[in-house]
Amino acid sequence: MKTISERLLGGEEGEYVVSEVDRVMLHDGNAPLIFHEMDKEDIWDPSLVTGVVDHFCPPSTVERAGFVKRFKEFVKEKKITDLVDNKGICHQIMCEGRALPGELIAGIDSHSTMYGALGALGIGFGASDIIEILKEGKTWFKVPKTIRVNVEKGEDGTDVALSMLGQIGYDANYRTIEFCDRTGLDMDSRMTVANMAAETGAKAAFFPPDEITRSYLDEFNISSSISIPLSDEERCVRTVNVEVEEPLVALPHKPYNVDPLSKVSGKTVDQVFIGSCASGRLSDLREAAAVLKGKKVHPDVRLLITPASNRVLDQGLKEGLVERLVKAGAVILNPSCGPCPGIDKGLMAEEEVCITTQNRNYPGRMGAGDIYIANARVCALSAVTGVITGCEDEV
Amino acid sequence: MKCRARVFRDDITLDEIHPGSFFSLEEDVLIKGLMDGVEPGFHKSVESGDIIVAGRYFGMGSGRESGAWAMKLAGIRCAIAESFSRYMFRNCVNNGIWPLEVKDILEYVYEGDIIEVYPEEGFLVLNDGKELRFDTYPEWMVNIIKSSAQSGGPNVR
Repeated sequence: MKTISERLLGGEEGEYVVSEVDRVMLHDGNAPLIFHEMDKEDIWDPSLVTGVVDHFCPPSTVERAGFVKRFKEFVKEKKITDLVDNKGICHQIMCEGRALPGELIAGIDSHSTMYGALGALGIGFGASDIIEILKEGKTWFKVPKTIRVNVEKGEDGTDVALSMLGQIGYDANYRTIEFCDRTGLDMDSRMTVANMAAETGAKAAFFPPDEITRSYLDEFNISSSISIPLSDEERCVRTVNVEVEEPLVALPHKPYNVDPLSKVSGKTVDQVFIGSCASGRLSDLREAAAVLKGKKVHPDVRLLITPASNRVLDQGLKEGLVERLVKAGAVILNPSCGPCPGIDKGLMAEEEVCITTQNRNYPGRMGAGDIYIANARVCALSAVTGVITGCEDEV
Repeated sequence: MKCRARVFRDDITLDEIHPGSFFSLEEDVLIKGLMDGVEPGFHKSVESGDIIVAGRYFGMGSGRESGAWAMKLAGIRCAIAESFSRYMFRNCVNNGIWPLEVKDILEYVYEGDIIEVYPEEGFLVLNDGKELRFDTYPEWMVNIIKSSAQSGGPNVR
C-alpha cells in the first residue's frame, strides 16, 4: 500500500519525481526575493496563487512599506486575483476555504506544513524553487519516508505538538509525518500540530481527511468526499505515541527542548504572546478569555494577542472575548506575524523572558531574551500572575 | 576545489546563519548578516573560496533564501555538513553551492584546515591526506547547481 507522500507526489519512496502543484501561497515577507526573476515572466496559472500581506503588516519601516507596495503591484501585474491584504496570517488564510483535501500546495514559507490539518500536502520552499513553480506549475521532489504519530491522549494542540517535538526532535527532517488522531482533535488543534510539525524538520505533516475535516469545510460551503487512508505502519520508519498527561513547555532555545511545565513554574515573565501562525485561533481566544474573566494582567507584564485572521477576530468580537481580553489589559494586535519572527510589535530586550504559543524559540527569534512555548491557557495564567504557571488556584 | 574550512557546530539555525534583521535586497546588508547569529562579524573574515563545515541539521528552521544568497555573495561554493535542513539543501542547490553530506565530518575537519573537495567525484582530501567519501547527486541536480553558480541572488542575476 502506498504512503500518503507516494499517493500525493507520485513515484516511490526515495525516488526523485517531478510533480504538479495544485496551489501556491506567496507572502510579502519572502516574495521580495522573487521579484527580480519574475519581472518578465508569466505565472503558469494565476488563478491558483494566493498572495497574502501579513509579515510587514502594517509596515514598520520605509523599506518594508516599499516591499508591500511592490508586492501588491506584482500581484496585480501577474493577474493574481486572490490578494489578501491585512486580513490574516497566510497559513490561516489558506486554511479558511483555500487548501483542500488531497491537494499538493507549495508555500513560500516553512510553516506550509499546516495545510496538512485539512488533508493537503503542504510543502514549504525557498524563493528560487517558488520562482520555478510559478513559471512551470511543477517542481522536483524526493519522495520522503514516513513517520507515524499516534495521538492517543491530549486535547490541546500546543501540548500535542510539544509532546511530539520532545520525542522526535529534528529527526523528521526530509520526512512526512502522518497523524493517526485517536482523540478527535478539533480543527484549531490540528492546525497547531501540523504547523509545529515544521519544527521537527518535516517536509509535510498530514491528518487524513475525516468527519472533523468535512464539518470544518462545511463552514466555508465546501464539500469534499475524498478519502486518503494512512499508510500501513510497516511502511513507516518510526512510530511515535503522543499521550499528554500534563501541560508541557519548550525551554529556550529549541522548540523540541520539552519538559513538563512544572519544571519552570514560578519563573518571572516580562511578555506573554498568544498568536503567530501556530495559534491565535478562536479556541485560543476562548481559553485566554476564560482565564482573564474579571482579572487583570500583572502590572509588570505586557500581554499581546494576535487573532489569526479577521474571521477569528470577528468571531471573538461576537462572543465578547475581545472585550473581555481588552478589559483585562491585553493588547490586541491586528492579525499578522508581529513579534514571532522578530518583525515588530513586541520585541524583547536582553534578559527579558516571554512565554508564548508561537512555534519557534530560537535565539534572537523575538529580538533578544528567552522564549518559552506553552499552550494558550498557561500563557494567560502566566500573564495574570507574572510568573510561569499552569495552576488556576494561583490566579 | 581547494578551500579553507570555516567550521561550525551542530544545529545551526537559519536564524543564526542569517538573522532576520539583515533581511534586505541590498548586497552589502545581506553579506554583513552571514553567520552573524553564531559568529558576529564573520563577514569580515570570510574570503571567497572558503567553505562552510557544520554538523547535523545545518540551516534548521526558517526557509528564507537570504542565507544562501549571503553565502553565495561571500564566494562560498560548497557547504559540508553531517546533514542539512531540507530548505537549506534546496536553497544551496539553487544558488550554485554544493550541499555535501559527509558522515562525522566534525571529527575530521578543524577551523582553518585546507581541504580539497571533489563534489562530482564524491570525495574530499583532508589536511593530512586522508580521503573521505560521500554520495554524489544525479546529473540533473548537478546541472542545476552548476548553472545556478552563474546566476542567482538579488542583484547578481
